[in-house]
Amino acid sequence: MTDEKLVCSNITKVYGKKEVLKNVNLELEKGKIYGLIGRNGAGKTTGLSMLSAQNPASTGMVMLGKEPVWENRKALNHICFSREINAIGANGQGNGSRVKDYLRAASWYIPNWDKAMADRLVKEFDLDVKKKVIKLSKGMLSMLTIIIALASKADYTFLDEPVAGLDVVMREYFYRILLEEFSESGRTFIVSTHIIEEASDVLEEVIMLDKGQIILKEDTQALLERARHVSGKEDVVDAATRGLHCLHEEKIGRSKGVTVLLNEGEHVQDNAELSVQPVNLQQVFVAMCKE
Amino acid sequence: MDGIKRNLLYWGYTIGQMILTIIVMVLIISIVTGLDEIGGILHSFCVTMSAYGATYMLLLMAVLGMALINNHMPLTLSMGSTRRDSFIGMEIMLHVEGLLLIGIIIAAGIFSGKAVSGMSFFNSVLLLAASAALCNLIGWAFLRYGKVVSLILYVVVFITGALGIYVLSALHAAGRLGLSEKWGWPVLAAAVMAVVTADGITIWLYARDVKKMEVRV
Amino acid sequence: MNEILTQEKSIYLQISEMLENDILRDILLEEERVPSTNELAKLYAINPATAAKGINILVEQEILYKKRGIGMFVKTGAKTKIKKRRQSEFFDKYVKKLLEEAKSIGITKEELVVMIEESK
Repeated sequence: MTDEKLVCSNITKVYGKKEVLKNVNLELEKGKIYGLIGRNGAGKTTGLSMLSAQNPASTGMVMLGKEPVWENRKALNHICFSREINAIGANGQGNGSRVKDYLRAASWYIPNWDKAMADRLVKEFDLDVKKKVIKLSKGMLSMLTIIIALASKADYTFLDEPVAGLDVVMREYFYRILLEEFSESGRTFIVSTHIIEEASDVLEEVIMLDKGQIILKEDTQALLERARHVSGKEDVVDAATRGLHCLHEEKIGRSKGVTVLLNEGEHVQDNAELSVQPVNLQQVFVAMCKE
Repeated sequence: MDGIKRNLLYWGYTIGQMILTIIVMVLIISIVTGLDEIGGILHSFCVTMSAYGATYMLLLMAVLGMALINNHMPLTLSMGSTRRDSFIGMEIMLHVEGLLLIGIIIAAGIFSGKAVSGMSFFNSVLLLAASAALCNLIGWAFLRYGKVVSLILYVVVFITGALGIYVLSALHAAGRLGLSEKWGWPVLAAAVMAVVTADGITIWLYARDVKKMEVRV
Repeated sequence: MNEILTQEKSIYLQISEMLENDILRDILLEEERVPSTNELAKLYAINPATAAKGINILVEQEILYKKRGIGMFVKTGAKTKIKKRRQSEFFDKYVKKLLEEAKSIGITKEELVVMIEESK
């Protein structure tokens, strides 16, 4: 077990001519569930693969405490980013690996592998271990990734869209076992997802990524408390929101709606002329990404 | 050591599986062809293994080169291995298990009544280094230039190889090769040296690119 | 028209209330065209039938009316009408609740009246 922070400084990643990550700085603490939210192509997966040293960064450095993560098994033993299954399944021609081969490999490679937990989850997910990985459906692949991530017992565990392809019941089940494992172990999880509202109550902190840059990292509840949607007649709204940090605005005729992030001490009062409504995490995210 | 150990396990298992496939393949051929032979299936297996084992091994190792870099290396990295440990583990098991297969081929030769000379040792080293170099070369080409180039390389290597063997044996049959007993050894020794060097060079090239390899999504 | 839809109430009720608010706030003026069912559906990403249900409530209350081939319009006098209706609902919707809550936490009617008088 380590209580060190995972710190990523000035990470830039360039693929060809495309800058996928631009000078990203991030500090992750032990014992939190982080949500990584971003649109397709925002750099979520690339970011996670830099943090776990699965891909080399163009510039910058990731450190676990005093240990650099790159090519350092001492640091890597505390980190698990289980994702590759999907990619290998997609272009692995004729490689006949089965689910049980993957689980066996995991038991060899992952230092704190919890076999009992893996077995239990396989049973509960009703996953056929004899099935070839390339023949798994999207949902079953998600399950396999989840099993490896949870049973890895790694201090820093990354889940890249773990619920993609899972049905509602399975998604709820996943968040339940994630919380169960989290509260028992105090591990750190980073979960990226597009289904924001479902995850919003689970995420202690949210990290928003847009076009390769972190645009926000904040305690989820604190963020929601200072995010408001103000609507009414245009001049009334303008007067009420003057000087506030405005994320996004929309106009229809004389009507106007503005999503604002209030800073400490700022306030917008709901009255007869003005509707001030709370917004959810998804709405904050959409407002931040719309230009 | 822990980092290397888990890689020895994984690569040993993975490459071992492929080698087992050759043995099973030869066994199936022997069962089909050996049913009405006097010596029985075992004898037939040994004859086939001794005659074609080396060719099968070369063929297989080249295919293995692609599978190892495309499927297995990314898996080991995603499970938290360092590139260095994974690559070392792969190279060690490639050579160790290659040697094991050669051992089986030689044993099959002895069993089927072939004489074992000092040359067999050099031949073994030659085969091991050649197959490993081929595996590394194809894998490296796959990593650096992609699937198409490595496939083309694969075909080219085998066509030249087959042509070379054809030309050599034709010359030999015509008695034009002109290699006396006296010259046989130095030529073999030179060939061994060349192939071992090639193995070394491919490992070096490969290692250089694995160091900055991208795990594709 | 820029308010956010929530899950606390039926969507069609929220649509009709939103249009009412817009009329009260002079965002929609009398004898002015209101967005069509399809426009509303697109705007809030809701089913057109739901949007239509919201509009129909206002048509029944004679706040909106239909001009054939052109669309929905705000009726003259709609603003007063909405105010009147809301005034009549005020006791049930707000005062009753206020009294109930006050009672449950031990605030007397007299104290309540003082509070109201003191507030601006």
